[in-house]
Amino acid sequence: MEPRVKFKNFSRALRALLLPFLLISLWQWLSYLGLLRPTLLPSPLTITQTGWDLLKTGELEKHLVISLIRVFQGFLIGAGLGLILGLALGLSEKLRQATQLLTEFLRPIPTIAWVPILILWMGIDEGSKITVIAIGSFWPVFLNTIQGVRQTDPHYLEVARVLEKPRWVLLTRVVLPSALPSIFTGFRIGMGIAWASVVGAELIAASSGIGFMILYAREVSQPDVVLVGVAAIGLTGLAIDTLLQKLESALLKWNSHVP
Amino acid sequence: MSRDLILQGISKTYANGVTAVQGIDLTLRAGEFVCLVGESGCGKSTLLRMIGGLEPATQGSITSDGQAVTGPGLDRGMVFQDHRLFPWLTVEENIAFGCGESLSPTDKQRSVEEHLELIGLQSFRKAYPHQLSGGMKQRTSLARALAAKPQVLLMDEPFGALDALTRIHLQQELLKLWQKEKITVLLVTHDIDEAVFLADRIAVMTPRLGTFRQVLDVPLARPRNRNEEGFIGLRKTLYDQFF
Ligand SMILES: Nc1ncnc2c1ncn2[C@@H]1O[C@H](COP(=O)(O)OP(=O)(O)OP(=O)(O)O)[C@@H](O)[C@H]1O
Ligand SMILES: [Mg+2]
Repeated sequence: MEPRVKFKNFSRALRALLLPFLLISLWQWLSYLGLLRPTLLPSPLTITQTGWDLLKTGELEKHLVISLIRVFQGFLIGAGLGLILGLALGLSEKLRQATQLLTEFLRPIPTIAWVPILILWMGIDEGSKITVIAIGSFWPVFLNTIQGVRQTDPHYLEVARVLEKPRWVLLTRVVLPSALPSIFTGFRIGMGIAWASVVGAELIAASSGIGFMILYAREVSQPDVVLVGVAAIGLTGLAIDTLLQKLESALLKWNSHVP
Repeated sequence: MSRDLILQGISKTYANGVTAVQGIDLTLRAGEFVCLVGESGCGKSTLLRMIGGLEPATQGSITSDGQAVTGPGLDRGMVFQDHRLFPWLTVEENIAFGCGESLSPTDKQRSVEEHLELIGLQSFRKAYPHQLSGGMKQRTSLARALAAKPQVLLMDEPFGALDALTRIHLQQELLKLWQKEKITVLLVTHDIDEAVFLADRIAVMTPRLGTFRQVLDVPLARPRNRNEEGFIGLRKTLYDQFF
């Protein structure tokens, strides 16, 4: 890498880290002055110490891994269905018309509102938790896929028509690639929602998972553990999104230069 | 069976009531190079799109290769002004998209090779369209159309967006390809010079009426010299029709 590019990256990272650093310093300082009650808001140092202890005992990793597995299972189902149904509806005006009322009715229902009914239907096992996550990740993938497919440039479709391409070639070589950036946006938002709804899903009488860890710590009045859990959710979410972003730019190299 | 492309009494009125083309008769003999010139909005693209089968004619009939044209067909290839290369495919993948679906993978590969060589872009085979110059994009677009082995190539201002020097280069290359592949070409252009340089015959369209004012023979031997008397005279005749 060129030194100038390196420097640019460095100063960008510095700028991004500045605000969090200032806020945490302020927080630590206020705690140090005794202005924040530790039972409500422990100091950053205490939280870091607790986090480190939880890591050393393997407790934090255990809960994280369990939550991650749930998120990936739920995402796989939700995003998979969203992709397939989105493709079908994006391609067919008639299907869109037939399902329009239903989707517009279902879409505004918050994911969390499904929890009681899912417990009723599926009990309190893994099934209902995974389903909540699946519902959460379904919508962004579904809606973005429809939009991506519908936005395929008609000029490209004309090229395929002139060359008398069969439907499946049209779909795999023209429509799908052209919709892929939009689909990927759906994946990223969907994954974000899936991860965010894990706490909601683990409200369903879980005995493990990062959401359970937070809830349990609140019940036994361990605010530092609660905040470690919250921070772990934030950091893991960031890591997943960064990974997806990397995957996207690797798969869609052509897209970075398209106006 | 005649391999000519025959237009008989072609008219087109769009749904909004605009009549773009009216009563056009034209026969493109197999292997002929015809240019279509006319002012903006006179119906050139409409006519070309009807021949390509992308737009139904309101009246009249089009016969290609002895068959009535009712839609797109592999006997007629198209090259557009905006190259329309797929940005997610490389140069060779874009060209391969032009190949017939019935081709075996080896035949496809051979055809891609052959057409890459034809346009001289072998070293850019793995490049994406955004990495190409305007001229290279238009060459690739031409190769994609040729890979389908059409008998008639319909080109709508293919060089309109290029700079003057690149345009002249591509005109020369197109002539070579046309002579080598022995195809029929119908090329739409605004550029009178281009028409005189390329065509066996030039069809001049009337503004707004959607009809031909004149179909002109170009009796100049190839390779043509743009500064030679016959060329200049013909160019003048054409200019006088417009100004
Ligand atoms: N899809 C359409 N619907 C309605 N009217 C159209 C449509 N396409 C073209 N027209 C009209 O038909 C006429 C001829 O258009 P056309 O695009 O064929 O002209 P052109 O000769 O190709 O012009 P240019 O040189 O600018 O490309 C114009 O008046 C145009 O407004
Ligand atoms: Mg036009």
